[in-house]
Amino acid sequence: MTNYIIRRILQMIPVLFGVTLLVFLLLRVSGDPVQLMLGEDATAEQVAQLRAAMGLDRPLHVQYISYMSDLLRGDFGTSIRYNNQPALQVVLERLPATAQLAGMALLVAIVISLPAAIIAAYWRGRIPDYIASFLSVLGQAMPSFWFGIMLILVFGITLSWLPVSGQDQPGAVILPGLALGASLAGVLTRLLRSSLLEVMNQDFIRTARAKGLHPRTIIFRHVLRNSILSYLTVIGLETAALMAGAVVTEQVFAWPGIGLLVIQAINFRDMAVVQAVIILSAIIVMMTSLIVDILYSLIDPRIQHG
Amino acid sequence: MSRLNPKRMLLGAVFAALMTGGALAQDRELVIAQGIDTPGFDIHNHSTSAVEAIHVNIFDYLVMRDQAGELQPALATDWEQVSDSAMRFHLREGVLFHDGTTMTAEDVKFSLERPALDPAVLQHSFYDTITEVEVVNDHEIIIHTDGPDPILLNRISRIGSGIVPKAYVDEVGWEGFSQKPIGTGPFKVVEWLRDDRIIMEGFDEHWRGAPAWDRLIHRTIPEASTRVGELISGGVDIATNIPSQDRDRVEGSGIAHAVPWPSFRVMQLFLNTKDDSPLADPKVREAIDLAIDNQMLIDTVTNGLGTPVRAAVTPGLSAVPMAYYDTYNFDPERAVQLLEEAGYGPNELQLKLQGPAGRYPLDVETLEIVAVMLNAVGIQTEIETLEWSAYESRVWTPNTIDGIALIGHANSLQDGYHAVQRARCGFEFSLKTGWCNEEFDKLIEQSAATVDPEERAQQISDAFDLFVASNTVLHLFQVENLIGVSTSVDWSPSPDEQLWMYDAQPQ
Amino acid sequence: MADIHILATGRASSRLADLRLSGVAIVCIGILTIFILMAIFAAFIAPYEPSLPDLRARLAPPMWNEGGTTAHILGTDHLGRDMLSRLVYGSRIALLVGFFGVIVASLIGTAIGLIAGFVGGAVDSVLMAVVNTLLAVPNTLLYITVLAVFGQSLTLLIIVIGCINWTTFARVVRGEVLSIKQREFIEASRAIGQRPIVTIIRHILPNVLGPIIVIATMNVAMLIILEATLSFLGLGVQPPTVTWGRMLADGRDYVATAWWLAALPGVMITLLTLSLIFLGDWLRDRLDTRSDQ
Repeated sequence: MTNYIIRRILQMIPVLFGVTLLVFLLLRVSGDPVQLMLGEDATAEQVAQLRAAMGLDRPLHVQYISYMSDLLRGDFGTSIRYNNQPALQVVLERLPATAQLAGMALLVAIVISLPAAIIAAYWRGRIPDYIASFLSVLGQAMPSFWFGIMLILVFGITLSWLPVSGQDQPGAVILPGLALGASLAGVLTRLLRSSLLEVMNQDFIRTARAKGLHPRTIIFRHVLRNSILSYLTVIGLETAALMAGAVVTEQVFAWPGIGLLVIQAINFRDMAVVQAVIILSAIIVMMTSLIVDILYSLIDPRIQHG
Repeated sequence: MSRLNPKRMLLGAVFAALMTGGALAQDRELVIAQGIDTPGFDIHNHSTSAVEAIHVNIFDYLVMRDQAGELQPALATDWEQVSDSAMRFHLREGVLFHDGTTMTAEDVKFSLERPALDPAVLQHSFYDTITEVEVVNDHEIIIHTDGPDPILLNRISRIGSGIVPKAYVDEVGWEGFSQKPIGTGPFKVVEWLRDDRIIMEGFDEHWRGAPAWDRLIHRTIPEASTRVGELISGGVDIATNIPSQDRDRVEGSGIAHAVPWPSFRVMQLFLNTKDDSPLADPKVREAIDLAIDNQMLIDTVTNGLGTPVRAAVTPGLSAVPMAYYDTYNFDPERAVQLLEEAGYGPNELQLKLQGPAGRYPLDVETLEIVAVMLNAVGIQTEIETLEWSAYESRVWTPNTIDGIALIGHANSLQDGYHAVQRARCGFEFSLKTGWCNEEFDKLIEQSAATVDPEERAQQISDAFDLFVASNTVLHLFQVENLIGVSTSVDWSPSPDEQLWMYDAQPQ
Repeated sequence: MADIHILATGRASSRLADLRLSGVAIVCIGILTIFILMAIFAAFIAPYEPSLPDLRARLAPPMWNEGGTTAHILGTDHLGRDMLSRLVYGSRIALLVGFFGVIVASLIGTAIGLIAGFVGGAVDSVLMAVVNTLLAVPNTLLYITVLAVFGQSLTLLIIVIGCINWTTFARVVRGEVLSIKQREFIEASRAIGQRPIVTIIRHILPNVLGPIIVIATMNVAMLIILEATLSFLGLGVQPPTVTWGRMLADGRDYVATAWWLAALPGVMITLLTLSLIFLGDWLRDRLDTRSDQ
C-alpha cells in the first residue's frame, strides 16, 4: 500500500510539470498584461518601460526557467491585478468560499440523487423511473448560468425567500449551491440507478429474492451497500469538476471564490494568479483521486494494485 | 439602508448553520454595487474611472469638482499662479488622516511627486509636466511645472492625486498601503474582501464634518441581471450600469429609480488609412460616416440612451467645440454615390470591423448594427470581436487595425486638449489611423503652452475641425449609462462617473 | 485514477443488430432528425435573414402573446432580428460544434489510444502522462484560457474541443487494446503468420465502436452546453454567426422583461441535449453486454 501511494505521488510529478508548461505557454504566447494595466491612454514608451521592469521582454524559455525555479521555492509570483500581492495568497484566501459552495452543491446533489436513484431503480420501467430519469437528464441538459439566473428571478426576486447574491447573508449559499449541484445531481442519479440495477441482477440478490425477502429490505440492506462504493468514487472525482463549474456559478451569484477570481484574472492577463489556480486545482484533482482510490481499496480489499 | 425581507429572514434562520456572519446592522448603512472591484488602494497604479469612483470616498484631492463640474477648494483652500510654470497652494489646516495624524505639506509633496517623478507608476503620463512640489511651510506648497501648464488643476483633481500620509506609507510600503489604505476622506476602509465587498466606516473627524452614514459598503457584482435583482429586492441602495431594458422594471419596483447617467465617454470608430487600405481614400471614409445613422444606432442598441456626436465632446468638458455635440451626418444616398466615385460598385468594398466584447455596454451589438448600416450602402463587412485583453494586446496596442476598430474613450482630464492631442503625428491615434497633419500638430503644441483660456480654446477648436474633417476617427455617440438609486437615498450622480457618497443623504 | 467514464458507460460490444427501438428512442431520434433537417434546410425554413435587424420591430413578442404579430411568429430580439430565423440558423452551429468537435476528438483519441496500447512502454507512459495532465486541469478553465488567449472562431473552437476532449476516447481504446493484447487469439494469429497489429485493429475497432458511439453521443450534448457557457463568458463564436448559446447569453439580461429572448434558445438547447443524452443511455443499454451475463 505504501509503495502504491509513493508511486502514485511520483506519477504526479510529470503531470504537474506538464500542467505548468501548458499553462505557461498558453498565457505567454499571447496577451500582454502591460497595456491592460496602463489603459487606453498609455504611450508606447510607457509600455516598453513597464514590460522591461516586469521581465516580459526576456525570451520565453528564460521566463519559464525563472518561473519554474520560483515555483519550486513555493513562490507563485505576484498578482498584477492586485497590486503585487503574492498570487498563492490571493488564490488561497478564496479557497474557503469555493469549498463552501462546492460543499453545498455536493449536499444538494446527494440529497437529490440518493432518493431519486433508489425510487427509479425500485420502480424500474414505471412512471417514477421515467420522472426521475427525465429530471436527472434535465439537470444535465440545462446550462448552469441559465438555471442560476432563473433561481435568482424566482426565489430571490419574485418570492424573496433567499438572498440574491453575495456571501454574507444567512442562506446565501443555497441558490448558488442549487445551481451548481443540479448537474451533479443528474449525473449521480443516473450512475447510482444503473449501478443499483446492475447489482440487482446479480446472483446473490436473485437468491435473496427467491428466499422471499422483502424488496425494500433487499434494496437497503444488500443492493445499496454494494452500489455505494462506485457512487462514492464518482462523488470524489466530481468534486474536482465542481471547482471548474464554479467559474460560471460564482459569476452569476457574485460569489467571491476561486471561479470569480480566475475569470477576472484571465481577463486581466493576471498570469501568476491563473497559473496558481490551475496548478492548485490540478493538485486538488489528483489528491482527490488518490484519496478515493486509497479509500476504495481499504473498503474493498478485492481491488489489487499491481 | 438595505432591508432584509422577513420571509427571507425566516428561511435564512433555518439555514443558520450555513451562516457566514453578517450581523444585522442597526446603524445607517449605504450599500453600493458595481461590476468591478478595486485592484487595491494604490491610487497611482490604476487607470479605471470605476475604481476611482470608490477611492474618491477615501482620499481627498487638493481641488475637487462639485456636482456641476466646477473646481472647488478641498484640501487646498486657495491657489494662485506665481509664475508661468509655478502655482502656489494654501493647504487647509487641521485636516486629519484616518489614523488621527494631521495632514501637512510634506504629505502633499510626497503624494504628488510619486506620480510626477516615478515613471513606473501607471498614472505617470498624466503628471509628467510636474517637476517639483516645493514645501514653503506646513500649510503652503508651490507646484513647479516644466513650462506653462494650463490644465494643472485638471490634473490634480482626478485619479492619482489623492493625498496620502507619508509616514504611514514609509512604514508599510505601497504594497501594504494598497491593502490597508489611510486617507483624509469621509469614509475609512475597515475591511476589504476581494471581489466581494469593501467595508467602510464614516470618518467622524472628517474636515467637512461627519458623513450621514455610519457604514458604506461597496459590493462587486459582475452580472448585470444580478445587480438589478439586488437593487429591486432591496439588497443594495445604488447599482451602476443598469441595462437600459430594465429601466421600467427598476422604476416599477417602487423602491428604486433608474437615473440616466451621461458620461464623458464617447464611442468611436478608428479607420486605418495606412498601406493601400481602401480607407486611404477620403471619399470612402466620408461615405462610411454618411452611412451610419447615429441616432438610429442609439435607439436600437441602447434604447435611446446617449447623444450623437461628431467629435469627443460632451457637456462639462473645458475647451471643446460644442458644435459637434448632439449632431451627426447621415445621407446613405450620398454615401453610395461617394463609393461609386471612389470606384466601388455595390458590394465591391469589403471591410473588417473589430471591437472588444464586453468592455462597454452592448459593444458587440454596436458593431453588429454598424455592419448592417454599412451593408445597406453596399459595403460588405466581416466582424471580429475579442475579449478585452486579447483585443488590447492584439489589435489596439500594436496598432494593427485591419479596417475599422471600435473603442470608447473617456476624458479624465475633462479638457478638449486631451481629446485630440493623441492624434498628433507619431502619437497613439495617428499610429492607428495613419493620419498626420502638420497644421493640426502646430495648433495642439501651441495650445499646450497657451495660458489665456479663450485663445487656447480657439486653438483647440481649430484642431478639432481638422481632425473631424479627416474622418479618420468617426465618433458615434456619448455613452449614457443608467444608475439605480434606492428611493431611501437622496443622491444624484455626476458626469465624471464618480460615486461621491458624502453627498448622499438618507430619506 | 479510477475511470469515471467507464463506470458511466459500461463495457459495451458493438452488437448493433440488437438495437430494438423503444418509445423514448423513437422520440429522441425524431427530435434529432428534425434538428438536422432544420440545419440543412435553414435557408428555406427561415422567413428572414437571421442577422438582419428590423429596427422598428425590436423586442416584438411571439405571435400568441399580447402585441405579437404573424410577421414574426416567435417574436424578435433586442435588435429586432427574427427569433424563428435565428433559432433555425442556430441549429447549424450547435450541430457543427457538437458533431465536428466530437469527430475530431474521437479521431485523435482513437489514434492515440491505439498507439499507446499497442506500442506500450515509454510511448505509453508519455501519452498517458499527457492524458493525465489534461484530465488534471479542469477543462472549463482550459477552454476559457485558450479561447481568451487565441481569439474566438468556429474553426478554432472545434479544434480546441478536439485537442482537449480526446482523452476519454484514448483511455477507452487503450484499455480495450491492452485487454485484447493478452488474449490467446493474438498468439494464435501470430502463429499463423498474421502481424499482430492487423489482428488487433481488426478485433479492436469493432469492440470499441460501441463505447465510442455512446461516449460521442453524450459528448455532443456536453459540447452544446459548453458552447452556451463560453458564450456566457463572452468567448463564443463571432457575430453575425447565430448560435443558441449566444442567443441565450444575450437574452439573459432580458429574462424579466422579454422572456422569449432567453427562453426559446434555452428550450432548443435543452431539447437537443435531452434527446442526445436519452439516446446515449438507450444505446448504452442496447450495446451493454454486462446485463446479459
